[in-house]
Parts: sequence; structure tokens; C-alpha cells
Amino acid sequence: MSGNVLVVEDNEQNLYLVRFLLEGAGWHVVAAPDGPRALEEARSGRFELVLLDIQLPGMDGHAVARELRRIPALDGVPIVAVTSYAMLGDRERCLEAGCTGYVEKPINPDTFLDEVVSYVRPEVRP
Amino acid sequence: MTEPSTPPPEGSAKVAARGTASPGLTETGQLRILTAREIEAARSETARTQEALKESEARFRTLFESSPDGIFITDPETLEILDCNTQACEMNGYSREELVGRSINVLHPEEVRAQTKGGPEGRARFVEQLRQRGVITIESVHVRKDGTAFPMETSMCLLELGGRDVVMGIDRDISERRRAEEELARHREHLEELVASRTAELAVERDRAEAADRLKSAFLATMSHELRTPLNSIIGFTGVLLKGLGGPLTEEQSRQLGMVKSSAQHLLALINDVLDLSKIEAGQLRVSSAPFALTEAVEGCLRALAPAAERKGLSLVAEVDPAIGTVRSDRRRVEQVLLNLVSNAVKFTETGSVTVSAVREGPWVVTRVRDTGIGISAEDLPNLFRPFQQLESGLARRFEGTGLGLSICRRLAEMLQGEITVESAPGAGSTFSFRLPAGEAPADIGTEGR
Repeated sequence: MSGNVLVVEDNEQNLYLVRFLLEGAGWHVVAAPDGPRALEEARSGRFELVLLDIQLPGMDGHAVARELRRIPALDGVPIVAVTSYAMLGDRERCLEAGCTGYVEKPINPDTFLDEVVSYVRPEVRP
Repeated sequence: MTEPSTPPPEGSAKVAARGTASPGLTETGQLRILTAREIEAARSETARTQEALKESEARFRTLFESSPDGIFITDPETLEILDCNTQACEMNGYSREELVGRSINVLHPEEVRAQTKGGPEGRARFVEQLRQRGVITIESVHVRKDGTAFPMETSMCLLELGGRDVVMGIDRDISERRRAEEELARHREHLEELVASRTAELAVERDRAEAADRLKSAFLATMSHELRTPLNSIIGFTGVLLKGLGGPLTEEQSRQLGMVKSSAQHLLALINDVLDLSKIEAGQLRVSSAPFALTEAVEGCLRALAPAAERKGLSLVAEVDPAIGTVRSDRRRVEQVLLNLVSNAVKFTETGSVTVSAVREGPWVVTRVRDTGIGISAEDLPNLFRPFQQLESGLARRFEGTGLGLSICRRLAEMLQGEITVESAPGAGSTFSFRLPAGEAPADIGTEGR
């Protein structure tokens, strides 16, 4: 069973948009609205991709990324930051925290899918 | 003071003058009989000498009494006060009778007295020093009869009086000087305090400014995030719907959604402009440097703006010298500047053309954006590159934009070691020149990437 994506996003509309795009491409989306619930899902499930919003209520995305990276089941699984942080060093901070890639919001619906899926090994894509 | 206690023998002046013989003595010292004339001459000589001595003493006495300084004459062995002037009495609050005959130590406080005692040998050494150095000046303290003390500067010298050495001390009350010195020291200290407190104030102000700066940066980061989050869903869903992913659309629905999309993208451009300018001002914007073909950047920019030019019926022309080759700069930022200049040209031109040319001129690679638009008046030119300055309020309403584009362009050009200049006149169109350092000579002819 492949094509599971964990989407960590607190904004309902943005979650709907991402889910809509991913499900349209055959991904199975599991959503988590904050860090603790994302960690819980990550520990109990199997995922091929994690999309992580950085500005989250409570535990911020960088801390979530660091915690996700400690989970053995996520070894080698790309974590892509999807964030509207656009200040200098934001990308670097995300990568330092353990993210594999970085996509800036607002996302471009024409290219978003190709961009995030490019981080996933072809054999585990849906 | 120099008069000996016993009168000199008659004719001593003559002895001094001649150094050979007295009137009553032969050169070998034998007595001889003087003539009456000789006796008369010797007497008048003596009288003159005594007269001169009296005059000398009177002059000294006058000086001694009228001196503004206190003067003491003391015996260096016993420290007994032999004489003192009126000023010395007044300074110390004693009468002359109370002082003459007493030890000079009566004027010194206990601790100073201990120092000046030094025993007979110490005093003899002091006299010897005085003889060698002529004058010795010391600062000390005197105690008045009423017990009050005051600082004192004393200059001492040796005098011969009645065949023995005496010390003449000239005393000056230096209370005023001391007060001035203390005052000066206080001022100096106060000044240091002022400097220290001003420094502390400035440090506080600096900290406050830095805190404000951090707050501004945090505010911008937050605003940028907060504004982008809803835009994400507006732009995202509009795109999804326009692609027909939400179901089939009528032509009218597509047109209206297209307007939503274009407005949302404009809003995003504004947010990006504000963010860019604040990054530049916060020194957070970094530029990179790598070789790239300028022709590609120009062509990309024209491609992006071709639809807008077409809608207005403008022709977009590229006149790029093929020998321009590669430039070494930050491609993304160069494209940002070009896009800004060309979209401005399209925005402010109703009929005619927009021409982009690029040539090497000496140390520069110059890209010119020339339009046949409304032009800019001489008084508006200086404000052109200031933030938030669309030229007149009428224009601001006719042409959308933040008024940040040109100010960002100029700052970017400066960061890229280049510059942007403009030539324009109302009705005659405008030409913006964007200069970048040419760097090395064009080795390759710019065919790369065409």
C-alpha cells in the first residue's frame, strides 16, 4: 500500500485545497491540524510524503520537523515545508530542521503537485 | 637688615673700594700720621656710605611693609621669628608683638611642625640647600590664631643679617587657587558623569531602536504570512476552478474567475514589493553573482509582458546587441528590475512602442527601456525613485501599483553595483537606463542559451 501523505496544516481552506489537489492525483491524505497530532499520526501510520506548514499553533513547524525526523518509520521520507514565511533564511531554517524541500505559499495549483511529488521516489508514488 | 649690629670702623668703605690700605695704615699695616685733608676726606666717605646704607634699608623696609605677601624673617637654627611684616600679621591673625620672638612653628599645625622640626642637623641641611638653590618654594598649611587653617605657598631664601644667615620666607595664601583647582576637579568629575550618563542614555536609545527594528522585522514577517495565507486559498481555488477540476464552467464564469485570479496575483505582487523593500531596508536581501546571458533575461521579460502590450496595441521591440555576451550578476534580481521597468513602460504608454535595447558601453552593460508614453515632468523626476511616490494622485488612480517598483529597482541596481537613470519629458516618452558592471570582456558572443 503506497501513496499516503501526511498533511500538517491548521488552516481549513488551505487544507481543503491541498487535499483536493492530492486526492485528485490519487494520494491518500491524512490531515493533522497541529504538531502533537502530526507526531501521533506519524508514529501510528506509514507515509510516503509529509507536507508541513511551518506556522502552526503551539509547537512550531521547525520543532515538528525535528521531532518527525526522530521517528524511525519516517526514515528517508521527504518532509516538504509549505509555508508563507518568505523572509531571509526561512528556507535554510526549514532545511536545518530536517525538511527535504520547501514550497512557498501561495501555492501555484498548476505546478504544486509536480513540485511536491518530485521529492518522492517514483516507485512509491500512487 | 644688612646693617651690622656694630658700626664699621671708619674708612672701611675705602678698604672695600681699594682693597689695599686704610687712611691710617701703611700698605704693610703700619700706623702712620694722617694729614688733616686726608682725615676730612675719609670722614665724608664714611658719611656717604652710611647715607647709602640708610637709603638701602629704607627701600627694603618700604618693600617689606608694602608687600601684598606675608614676609617672615626667621632664624634657621632656632626657628625664632626675627621680624614679620603687617601682611604676615593680618594673614595669620596675630599682632607683630605676638609673633616676633616666637617659633615659626606657632603657625604650623601639629603634623607639619613634626616635619619641620627635623632636629638641628635637618635645619642645617635645609640652610645648605637654600644656599645652593637660592630659592625654595613649598606648599604648606598655616593655622591662624583663631584656629582656622589655610593653604600656603612659601618661597624661602637666605639673607645675611648682622653677619649671620637668616631665612626670609614670603608667604602667599593660596586658598583661592585651591578652591579654583577643586572647582576644576569637580567640573571635570561632573563632566565625566555627564559623559557617562549620556553614554548610558544613548545605549538605551540604541537598544530601543534595535528592539523597534526587530519588532518591525517580526511585524513584516507576520503580516507577510497572514496576508499570504488567505491569498493561498484564493489563488489556489481560483486556479483549481479555472482548470475545470471543480467541474465544467460557463464562459462567463471563466472570465470572472480570471479577474479574481488577476486581482489576487496583483495583491500578491504588492505584498512581495512591500516585503522586498523592507528586506532591502533591513539589510536582509542578499544578491548572488553568476554568469548568465542577458539576452535570455530580456527575452523572458518581453515574453511575460507581451500579452499586456498586445491588449493595449503596443509593439514590444527587443534590440539586443548579440555581442553583449554573458554578464555576471544576480539573474533573478536583474529580471525583477527589467520586468519592473518594462511593465512600467507598458503601463504608462497608451500608443506606440516599448523598446528594450542592450549594449556594452565602456565598463557597463546598459539595458535601456524606451517608451512613447506620457513622459515625466522635470519637477517629478527627482521623486521618481522615492518609495510610495506615484507621481500625481490622478495617476495613482489611473494606474495601479504600490509606487514601490522604481524605488526597489534603484536599490536592487545599487546592490548589484550598478545604477538606474532616467531621461524624460512630458509627451516625449521616457528612457530608463539600467547599468550593470560589464566585468570581463565578452569572450563568448552570447549565443549560449539562445
